[in-house]
Amino acid sequence: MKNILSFLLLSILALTACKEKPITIPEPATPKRRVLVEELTGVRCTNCPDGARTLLSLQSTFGKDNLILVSNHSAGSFSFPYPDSKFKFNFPEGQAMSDFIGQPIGFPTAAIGRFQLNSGQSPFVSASLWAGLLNSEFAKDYGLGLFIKTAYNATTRQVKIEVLMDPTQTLVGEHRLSVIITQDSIVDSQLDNGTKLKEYVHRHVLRGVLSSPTGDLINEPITAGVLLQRKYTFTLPDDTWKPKNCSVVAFVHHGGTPDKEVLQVAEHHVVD
Amino acid sequence: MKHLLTLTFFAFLGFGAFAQNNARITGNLQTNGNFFIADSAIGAIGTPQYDYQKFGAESWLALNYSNWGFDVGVRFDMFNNSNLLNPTGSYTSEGIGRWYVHKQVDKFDLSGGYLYDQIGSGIIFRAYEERSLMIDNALVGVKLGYQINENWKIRAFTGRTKQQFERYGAVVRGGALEGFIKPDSTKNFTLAPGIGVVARTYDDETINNIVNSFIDYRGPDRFVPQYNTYAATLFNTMTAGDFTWYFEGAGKTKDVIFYPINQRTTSNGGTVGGQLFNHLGYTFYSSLSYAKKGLGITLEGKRTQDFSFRGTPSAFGVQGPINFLPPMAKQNTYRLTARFAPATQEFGEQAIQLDMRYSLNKRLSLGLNLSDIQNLDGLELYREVTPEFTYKYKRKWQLIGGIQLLKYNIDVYQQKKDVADENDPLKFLGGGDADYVDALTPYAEWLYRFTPRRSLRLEAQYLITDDEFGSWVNLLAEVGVAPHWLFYVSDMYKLKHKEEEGKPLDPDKIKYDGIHYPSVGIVYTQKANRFSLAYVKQVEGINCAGGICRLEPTFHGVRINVSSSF
Repeated sequence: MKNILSFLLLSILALTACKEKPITIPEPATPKRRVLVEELTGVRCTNCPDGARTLLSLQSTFGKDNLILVSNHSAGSFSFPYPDSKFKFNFPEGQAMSDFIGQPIGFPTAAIGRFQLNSGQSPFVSASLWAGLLNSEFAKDYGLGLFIKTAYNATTRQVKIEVLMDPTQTLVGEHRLSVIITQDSIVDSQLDNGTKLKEYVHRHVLRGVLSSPTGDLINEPITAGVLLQRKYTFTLPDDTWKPKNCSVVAFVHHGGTPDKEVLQVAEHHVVD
Repeated sequence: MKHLLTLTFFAFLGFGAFAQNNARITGNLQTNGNFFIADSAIGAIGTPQYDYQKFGAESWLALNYSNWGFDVGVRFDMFNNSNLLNPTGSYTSEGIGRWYVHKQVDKFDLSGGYLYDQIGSGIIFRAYEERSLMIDNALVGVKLGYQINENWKIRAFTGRTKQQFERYGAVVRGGALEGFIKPDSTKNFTLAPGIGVVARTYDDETINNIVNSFIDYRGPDRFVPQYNTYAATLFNTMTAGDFTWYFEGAGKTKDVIFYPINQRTTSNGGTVGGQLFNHLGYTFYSSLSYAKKGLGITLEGKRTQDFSFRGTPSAFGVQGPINFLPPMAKQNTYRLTARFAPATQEFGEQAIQLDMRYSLNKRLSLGLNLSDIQNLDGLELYREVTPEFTYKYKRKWQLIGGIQLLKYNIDVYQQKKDVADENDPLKFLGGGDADYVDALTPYAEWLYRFTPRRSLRLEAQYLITDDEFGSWVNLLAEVGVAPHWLFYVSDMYKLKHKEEEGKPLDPDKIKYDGIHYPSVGIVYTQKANRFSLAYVKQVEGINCAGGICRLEPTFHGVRINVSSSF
């Protein structure tokens, strides 16, 4: 009995602390730049729609123009289309882009500006970390303006893309430019919390990669006040690619040294 | 730092060998190599290993050295394109997975490094390793123990939980007092009481992630979290004659836990699964055993509420556990009886299990296992009834036979929906409910010894169900040539569904119909060394160890395993 009492006393001394200072719950940061969120998903991924809804909610909090969403259907066998799927969202370049970012541990998962919480850790993180990472990513400013111009030819279905990089700060190190095409509001099958929905609305789906999946190297130095320009063209393959729902997304990012973080992102509709 | 430690370890070895003392070196090696062969018919595609890597491996090499009252050890861990961390992904890393130093100084017991330990049955603290599930939550820290007297000892520890080659940010500290009481040396009555406490302090980064999550929470769903959570447990094993009674009750102060099933309203009015809560938790667990010649009975009960205790609330599944909740279902070993295993529900479950074995005579013994698991609202999660017999004919052959009756909530355990079925073949057993797998699995195992060294073992199971993918048959033949060789061949076959006119079958339900899953393997054992080589075709399913489960995707390929102790 004496032993137990002594142990309890020691335990109380060793383990308990003074009353904790209350923690303040932060308000959403005022965005100093735009942030790219790449969600890794699949039509057979039962938990992924919860992730998509969470991201749409966060987008409404931070602003549609500030938070750029991309749904990359490259989650291995989760992304294999159903026999009755109308679309095949997974494609090799999308997979290569996902592989370049890192490996997910579970789903739903997303890369917030491809930021790595810890060195060596995958930028794909679980939903409970998204809001916190977004808040800290929005507070950063790399001083890089990024703009997209598009010209769409309805006859040839060709879209000409001009990407302009307008740095207000000089950036050192290796930088890359990635340019992709997304399509919004595609109605097709999706597994959602155990139930297969045939008319699920897929948002911000990655449909094409115009640059290298790992990004096109920017060879010129990124110097404050010196405008850089890149041009791309892409032809929307068929009628299922609805121009009014397609967007060009361009982003400047590190290539792996020291990290893969996205410094700035821009989005522009194929047709205004 | 790691290089310094390795150097120190080998310096110890070298100095020990030079000193020609009572030095002792032990070690063990475990290596798994998987060659992946893509097969779209069974879904063995779509992972980096099937698509382009083609090979994955894991290896653990441990060396332990004892001398002058010191115990030191180091373990090299390697993962090459491994799917062990994430069954659908690829993980590559290598390094020192463990090192430790231990020294007994009079009544003191000192340890540092990567430590494995548990308090009671592990409900508030268990640092352990389960390689098949990639669990290695060693406490990276120090431990101090003190032997108060012959029967009482006390220990305290602090550190952080291992996360592959990194550590979780939260600091864990705790202690335990354990004793042994035998009031009367002439009577078979003993008590082994214990008490333990553990505190976990979240790091700033974890707290920041929690409070930032509230950006997407409505006001009423927000709460002010705390850095510290305290857990305490009281346990005792009482032995009285033929009875053994174990009881453990544990409580936890408010803890931020992520409840993945709960539906939350987002800040834009949408609904998503998964919500953070700040809840108190408790677990009560008890087992009562009676053992007398020819008869053994064990009755277990457990009730758990909100007892997830992890290094961070964003960890889930097999990641970051600080504790371990005892499972409450039979640990089935046959392939088909183990197909639907229940994962321990740390957010809330009440369970009871009865296991009985009675030997009628030297030849025949009977067994019965009953387990029932519900959530705290009384929703049935898992029910298993397995009567079994074992018949031994001299030393020549042995026959084990039984039948497993199962009800398994596949919605809760695997997040798969299953529609209600009026024509369920197991309707007479209460089958056909939506979101449940109702299965009946007769099984038999026959072991025949040709000579003391040569034996044949045959296994057969027939899983009868209309749920998930439907019914399966599994057959296995194994020839043993002691003491070195073991050869086996098996086939798991997916029976075809009967098509009804005007009722097209769900393509996902029948996708494996008529497919054979053969395996053939060879095992060579030389003293404490075991080498195995197998061609394996394995359907997707649940892999569980101690009530901790995860979904394992289809495997098709060749497996090589080496385990060696020296």
